[in-house]
Amino acid sequence: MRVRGRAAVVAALTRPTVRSLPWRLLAGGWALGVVVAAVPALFSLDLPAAALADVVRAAALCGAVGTAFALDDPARHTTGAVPVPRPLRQTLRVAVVGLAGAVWWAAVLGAVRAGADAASWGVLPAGALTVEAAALSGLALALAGAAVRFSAVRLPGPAVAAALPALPVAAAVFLPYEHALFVPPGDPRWADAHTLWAGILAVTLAVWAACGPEPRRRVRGAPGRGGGVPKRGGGRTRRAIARNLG
Amino acid sequence: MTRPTVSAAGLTLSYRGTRAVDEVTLRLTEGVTGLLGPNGAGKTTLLRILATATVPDNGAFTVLGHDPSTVTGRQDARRVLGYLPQNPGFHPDFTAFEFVDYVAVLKELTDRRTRHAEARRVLDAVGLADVRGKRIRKLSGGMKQRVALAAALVGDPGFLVLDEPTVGLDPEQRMRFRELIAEAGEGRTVLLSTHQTEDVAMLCHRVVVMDQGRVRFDGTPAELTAVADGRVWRSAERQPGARAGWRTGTGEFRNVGDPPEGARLVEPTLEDGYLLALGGDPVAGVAA
Repeated sequence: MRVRGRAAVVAALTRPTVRSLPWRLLAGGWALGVVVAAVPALFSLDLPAAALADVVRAAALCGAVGTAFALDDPARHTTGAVPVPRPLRQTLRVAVVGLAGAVWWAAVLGAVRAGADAASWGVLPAGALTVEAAALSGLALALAGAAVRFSAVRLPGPAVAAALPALPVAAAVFLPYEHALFVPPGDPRWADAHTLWAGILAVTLAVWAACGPEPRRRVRGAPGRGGGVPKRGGGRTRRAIARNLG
Repeated sequence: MTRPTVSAAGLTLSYRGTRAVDEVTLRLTEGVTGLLGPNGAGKTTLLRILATATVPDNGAFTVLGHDPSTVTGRQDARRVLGYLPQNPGFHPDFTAFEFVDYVAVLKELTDRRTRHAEARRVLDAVGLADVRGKRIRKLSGGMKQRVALAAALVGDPGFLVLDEPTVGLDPEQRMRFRELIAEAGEGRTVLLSTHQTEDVAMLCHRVVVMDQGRVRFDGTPAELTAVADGRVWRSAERQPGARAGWRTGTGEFRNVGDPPEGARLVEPTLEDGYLLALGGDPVAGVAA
């Protein structure tokens, strides 16, 4: 059998990856997001920029709930011992979801714009809200990635999707006033809040990336992976290894 | 002596303070080796370690000369092994062919023509040529198991790890699966985890018995049967001193353990030897 390079693997893997994604669940979250974004247009609501920002945030949260299913892989264990590494497989999944997600986000902004008057749309900071949406989806990926890395679960999506809406609520309730994440456009805290959002995006993507590689050493005490014993063998073990493996 | 294809020494893995695999040392050679043991004996954990799906706390092993403790070593080991997990999962909307083709890509068969030929070959080998275009969700449990075996056979691996592949299959399907495993064992090393002593008796040139994470016996099926020589007897009543005893169809009890004086000894079976190998100290014939 000829072994080709990574590019050839990626090319061959793209189609089955697209086929293997849980599109119904992803699309469910995204469709709900578009419906939420279309509410002002559907009901001819004349909302101010602050309310429009909250509509966009609600749509972003729906999208993040859909993204929580991106790493669901019912065949995880059947394909658990293949040479193509997990980071490559996950990256390809996330890239495909990311591309589709970008189209979805454009649809969300388009739906909001259709229902907003020119003045409100003009002061709505779409770029900063896009960073918020990306951070929420990044959070979903980080949680799903951690679930895959630290447990044997095949479908982390349902648990992550269930937990995700609670996190922005908790942030709104527990974060101090000066570090609030959900601030209206034009608020003096806007710049600081979006520095924080950018930080969340960077950290969540870093966590997802760090959870990708399969471990060479077990994590002490990690859920479902036990731990709590010394990593190196005693003299008896080392002698046995030397004897048997030469 | 036949050169080992898979060597493991001192493999240990703990789950929350319990040693699921405890200082396991093994040398596997070509042919089918059976791994017997009760639930919770550590069989699946050992198989997952040897399949490189999980990492041991201690110990080391090689698969066809590759050391999976390094990133490149693990990849090299994975190129020469096939793994059928205990509860194989699938993408249910894939056809059998699409799924095996997908696994072939994951095994780095990137040339489309070669890959498709390989997918057809392994599906033919497991007797699924007629249903390769059928969606997996519409296949029976036995057929799904065969799809998983076909996926494990992709790339003609030198080491095949099969975790209870006959569980949940009806007798006919189990028979068919045994034939497939026997064929797979020709020219490669197969490690077969099972609860069924009949699987071992029919398929394996060697048997390893595990209990409480440790190897209790390592030898041939005949040697495991011989462990029970002179230690199986029949009686009219239940024998309190027997290690195990059960009422047979004739109404008599069949007992395994240390027989009382004058006991009616009977010919032992592999299962009798297995029962005696469980628990206590390793029995005669053990290599570990």
